[in-house]
Parts: sequence; structure tokens; C-alpha cells
Amino acid sequence: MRSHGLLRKILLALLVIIILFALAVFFGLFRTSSVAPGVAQPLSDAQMQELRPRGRELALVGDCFGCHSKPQGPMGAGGLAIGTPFGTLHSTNITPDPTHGIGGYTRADFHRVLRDGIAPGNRNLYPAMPYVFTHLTRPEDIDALYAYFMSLPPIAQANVPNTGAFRLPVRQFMNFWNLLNFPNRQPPDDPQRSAQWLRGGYLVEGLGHCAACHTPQNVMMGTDFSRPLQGGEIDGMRVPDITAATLTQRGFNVDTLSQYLSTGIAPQGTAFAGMYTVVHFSTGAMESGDVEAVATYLLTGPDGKIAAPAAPPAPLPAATAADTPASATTATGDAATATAAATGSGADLTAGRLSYMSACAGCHGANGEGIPNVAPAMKGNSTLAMADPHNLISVVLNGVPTQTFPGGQRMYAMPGFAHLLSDQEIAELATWARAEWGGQAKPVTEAQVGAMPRSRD
Amino acid sequence: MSLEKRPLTLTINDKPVGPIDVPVGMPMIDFLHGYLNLTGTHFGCGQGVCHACTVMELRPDGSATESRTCISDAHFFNGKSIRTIEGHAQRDANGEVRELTPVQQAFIDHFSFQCGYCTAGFVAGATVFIDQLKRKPVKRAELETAIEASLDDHICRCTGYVRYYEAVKSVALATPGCVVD
Repeated sequence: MRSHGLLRKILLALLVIIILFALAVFFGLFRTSSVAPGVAQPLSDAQMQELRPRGRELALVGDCFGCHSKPQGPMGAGGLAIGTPFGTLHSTNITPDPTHGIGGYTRADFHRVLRDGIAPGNRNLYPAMPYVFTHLTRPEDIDALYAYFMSLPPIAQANVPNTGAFRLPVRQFMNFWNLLNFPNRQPPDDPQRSAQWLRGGYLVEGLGHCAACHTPQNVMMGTDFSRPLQGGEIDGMRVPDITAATLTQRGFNVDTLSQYLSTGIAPQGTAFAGMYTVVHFSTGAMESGDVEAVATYLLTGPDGKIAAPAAPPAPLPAATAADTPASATTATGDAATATAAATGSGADLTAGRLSYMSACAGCHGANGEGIPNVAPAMKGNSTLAMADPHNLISVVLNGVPTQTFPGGQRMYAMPGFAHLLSDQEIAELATWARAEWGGQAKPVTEAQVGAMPRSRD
Repeated sequence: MSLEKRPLTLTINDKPVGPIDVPVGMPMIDFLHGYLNLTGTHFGCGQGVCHACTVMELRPDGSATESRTCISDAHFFNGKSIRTIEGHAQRDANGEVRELTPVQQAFIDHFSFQCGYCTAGFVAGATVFIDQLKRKPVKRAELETAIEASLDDHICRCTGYVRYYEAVKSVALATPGCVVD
């Protein structure tokens, strides 16, 4: 009996310690601030004025307006709905309106938001605000951002209340999340690397928050920093892997990747879904030097070198064999037959090619060459080269609205084919196109197409 | 290199066509013009943007949609039923036009078109729109917005939009069941 009593006491003590620890976390006792010293002193008017242009460029890098504005809405006035499994968050007004915006923020307040994710009044921000990334921003750059935002026209637009679980007083629980998902990361600082690489690394890993979408998330919806830039998932789309190895495999070099980021259009395809708004608000408006720095950093491998871009994948033998059945008797016949077995039957590929010719070739070209400013090329298109056919199927089913790109370029609306082709036909079409231009042999199945979400009906 | 041909069977203006060997990759509009001498469907931009080449596709369930014939292959319509501009008006035994459709008549009454190049596409688009209204009427106050939304993609370089839209509005108001209060 005595030992039982002792065990109970030990358990009780453990419980008390755990509760005390949890309370300490909850009330932010483990929350160390990384705000630089000296920011309590306000900036002078002259300093503010001088910092503005730099702040504007950094705000573009951070794509602040992408989330803090509604489509067609006033710039920076917030209100964009951000869906989560727990309810809908709404981005906030970041214009310097004193009542509804950040007009009352001091320099120190602003630093704390970007470095720590804590708003005035000791309020935890939700990690939909990428403070895990803006944390890396240098104090002088935060000053520049502050100067820029304070110079915007103030807009008296009230913030939209959050819904679902976010109506409850749950902000402080972010302290637990931060403990597990908010590492004290520093900008890449390898002294062996070029100034351009360092600049690119600072922007990509920090303000640019590329990894927020392009890196897988853990079960807490935190960024899994052990798998950097290896591809993620957002808004029902697969976000491509943008590691150096994959980008060079897709045929990107610094020129074409910079072109993609600046204009949204490259030989590897056009920006769509979430990346389209990133190009619109952020990369397409950034200074070319910063865009090239980002491209350089992304394309540089762990060995410090930028590999030569790979040539577009050759059509898989199965695709060619299906075009001309006679080739199956040539010397490469065995290989062709073997791949045909892996890719799906030759009949499927023939059907897929005919579907492409009848439904797609009118705009995307009989040889996948596309039409400039109307429809992107399929030959060399990186979406076809993704191992997961999800995005390709989604676009075929649901289409893409008309898009305008920097420099007066555009792509005309693609209709969704959910009601025009059967799931079987779309599966065959995707299988053939991936084998022909994407180097992907794995067949797309009818069930895969059937399981995909559709935008209408 | 010889052209790869495949047999095509479809229904055009309620008449069966085919099976007939048609090259793979031939746009529907070329098939209509070159094989059937149905030249009323006009080739505009060739990129699916202007909608001059639009025809009606008649679905098995009785509904209708618009289809662009410059960007879709003839084979895309295999087994389907379409209506071209030649198939709208009622004709007598000699093939002479006996009576225009309400949409066609309204376009003439409202002086909707000038050069007429876009008209075949507008007739198809407006007829599909009226058919949709019969299935799903709109409120009177929302009719103009619905017309704009429906015909927005059709480009008229003579800029006769207002008269096209007014003509469609008059048909919608005169056709029972299209508009509710």
C-alpha cells in the first residue's frame, strides 16, 4: 500500500509539472523575442522617406498584397478569406489607417510582428501569416518595410471576423505550435558563395516564403524544414518540387527561371493556380536583380554549382510505338514493348493521342507547340513531367480562366473538359501526353480521374 | 507522307452525316466548309478567342451548348449532334428559307449586325442562352446582366453589341417562361 501511495504522489507531482509547463508555454514564458535592440526609438521622417523604395521592393518580395488584398479590392486593406480545416481566417488591413489598419503600430510593434509573430497587445498571430519566414528579415529591412507601409494611403476598411474555431479565444495556443514549428532560422550565410546567391537565399528562405507552399507540411500544418522545397500541397493542387536537382531536370537555367518568375511564362509552361497570383503581385513586379538572385539560389545545388539544364524528355518508346505500330518490329521493339506494358496498352495510347488531337491540338498544337499568348506549349511543359498527374488532370477537368501576365502577355481561357470528355478519355489523354512530353510512363487510371474534385456541378 | 484518316459519323442539322474518312487534326470548320459546303460558319481568329465560328451542340438530354469549330477537331464531334447557322431557320421542300427563328428575326429587326461576320456565332450563342433561360429563368432585373455574361465571349469588331443585346432581351421578354418577376 505504501508503494502505491508513493507512486500516486510521483504521478501527481508529474502531472503538476506538466500542467505548470503547459501554463508556462500558454502564457508565453518560453517565447523569447528576437526583435533587435534599439527599435524602441522611432525613425526620423528623413529616415522613413529614404527607406521607402527599399521597403516597397521587399514588400513585393514578400507578396504581402497577395494575401492582404481581395481580388479587385483596395491594396493592403485585407479581407481575403483563407480556408483552414478549423474555420476561415481573413487577412487583415495593413494600410496605416489608425482604427482598422496598422497606423497605430510603432516601429518596435512592427518588428515584433515580423520577427516573432506577435501583434500589439501580446496577441499571437496565426501562422497563416508567414512569420516563420519573415523572422529571417534583417532589422534594417524591417525598418524599410515599416517606412513603406506607413506611406501607403490609409484605407478605413474594417477587418472581417474569422470563423469556426477561430472565433474562440485560441490565439494563445499558438505558443504551443510555435514551440514545435517555429525554429530560430537564420539566412544562409555560406561565405564561399556569391553575393547573388546570398541575396537569393535571404529572399527565398525569408520574406519570399517560397517554402510556405513548396515544402511539405507536418501534421500540425507547420513547414517540414527537413524536406526543404521538395513540393507541397495547397488549395487542392500539388505544389511542384523546386529543389535545384528537379528544376534543372525540368530544363530550367537562370535565364528561363528568371523569365518564368518575371513574366509568368517560360518554355516550361505558364504560372497558374496559386503561382499565378504570386507572379502577379510579387515576382513579376520585383527588380530583375532580385529575381535573378532568387533563380540563382534555387538552381544552385548542394555542391555550390548550377547544373546544366536537362533536355526535354524524349517521347517514351511506347508512345512512338503506338503512333506507328510497325516500329514494334524494329531493333528497339523489345524495349518498346516492355515500356508499352508499363505505360498501358498501345490501344490506350492510341486512344489518348486521338483524344488529344481532337480536343486539345487546336490550341496546344499537333506537336504540343502551343500558340503564343493563347495556349501554353505542352512539349517541355513541367506539369506533364510531374510524377503525380494530379495538376494535369485538374486542369483538364476544370480549365484555367483567362490570364494576363506582365508585359502585356496573356493566355486565353481554357474550358474545363469534365462534361466534354469521359473520365476514361481523360485518363487515356493524360497517359499519352505524359508519355509523349513528360517522360512519365505510369498510366493515369480512370479511377484517378473519377476521384478528382470538379469546380462545377 | 499520307494523311492519317479515320471514319467520322455525326448528326448535322438533324441529318446523319458519314461514316466518312476525315483526316485526324482537321478542324471542324474546315470539315464543314470543305466536305459539306456549309460555309455559313465563319473562321475568325482561329484561336478560339473571337467565337465567330461557334455552332450549337445538341446534347442527348435535349439541352444545348456552344462549341467553337476552329479549335476543335472534326473528330471531337464524332457521335454528336450539332446545329450550324444553316440549320436554324425553317425551310420548305426546296430548301428555301420559310421562317427565321425568333433570335434571327430579332437580330434583323434590331439592325444588330453590320458586316455580319460574327453573326453566325451570335445566333448560336443567343439561341443557347434562350434555351437555358427556358430551363432556368432569370429575374427581370437580372436579365441584362445575364445576357452580358452569356454573350460576353462573342466579339463583334463592328461593335454592334448593344443592338445584339437588345435583340436578345426582346426575345427573352417575348418568350414565355424565360423571365420571372
